[in-house]
Amino acid sequence: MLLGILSCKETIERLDDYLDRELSPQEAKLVVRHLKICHQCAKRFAFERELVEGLRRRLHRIEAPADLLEKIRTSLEAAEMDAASHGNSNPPRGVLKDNQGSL
Amino acid sequence: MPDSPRAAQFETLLAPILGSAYGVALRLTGNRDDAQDLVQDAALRAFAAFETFEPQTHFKAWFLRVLVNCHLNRARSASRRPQTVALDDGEDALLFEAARREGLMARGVDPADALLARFDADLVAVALSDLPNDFRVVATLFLLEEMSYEEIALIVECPVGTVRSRLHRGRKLLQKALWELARERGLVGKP
Repeated sequence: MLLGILSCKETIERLDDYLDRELSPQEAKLVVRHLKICHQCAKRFAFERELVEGLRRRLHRIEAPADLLEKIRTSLEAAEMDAASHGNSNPPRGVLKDNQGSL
Repeated sequence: MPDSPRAAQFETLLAPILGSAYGVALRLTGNRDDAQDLVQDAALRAFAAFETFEPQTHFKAWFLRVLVNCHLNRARSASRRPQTVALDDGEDALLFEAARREGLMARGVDPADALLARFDADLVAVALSDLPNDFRVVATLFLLEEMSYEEIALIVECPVGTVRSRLHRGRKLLQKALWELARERGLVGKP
């Protein structure tokens, strides 16, 4: 960086962090300063930003099946009944499967 | 609503975020049956560990952490060995350069939009599901849930720097996968 101006390489290195709003305000200012004077980098940034937005639009949310909550409710009730039948207020050990006790 | 107060409280928290959880599960597993199964498994595990949830914290992040762990445990059990294939990230700015080659940089045209018009939702979903698990998880949380690096780090339980590097590589891998799929389907020309 010379006289507070980033090079193209330094700017592109900050591309993801800038687009994801993960740069500090000072760093973001430096990027903006470069983009104002470099048409090529500005085009690249605009492209990558629109690409992420477009991918997000295409990955639109698909509704959960209508009966999913009911299925979960049934399995939770079964887990509770199982725990009660074993005289344990906690759910059965089998519920935790391979990672016993951890999330 | 369940009879047990504990189950009722759990369901009250789960119901509003079930759509998000299913959406993430669908992108992680790549199909609807496995996604349903994953959400159900995660719900059972989360319910079993419900005492560890701190009510003043974010239930959605907590539940997604359980779900992601379930997914990674299943993937590990299925493969039984870590992925050892060296990943070729592909070139930097792969789609940017591809758009240029495809002649999409003309004035008045948004090149990303013009390129994306050739990629339908199915192609994007397949490309995402082709990513190795570690990259797919962070890319899914970033693209679908629009989470910050810090939020993703809390869910995948790794440092923010790791999320940053996985997301950076994940983007490159996703661009490469998109391009290769689009070529296979004859939607774009050769690079």
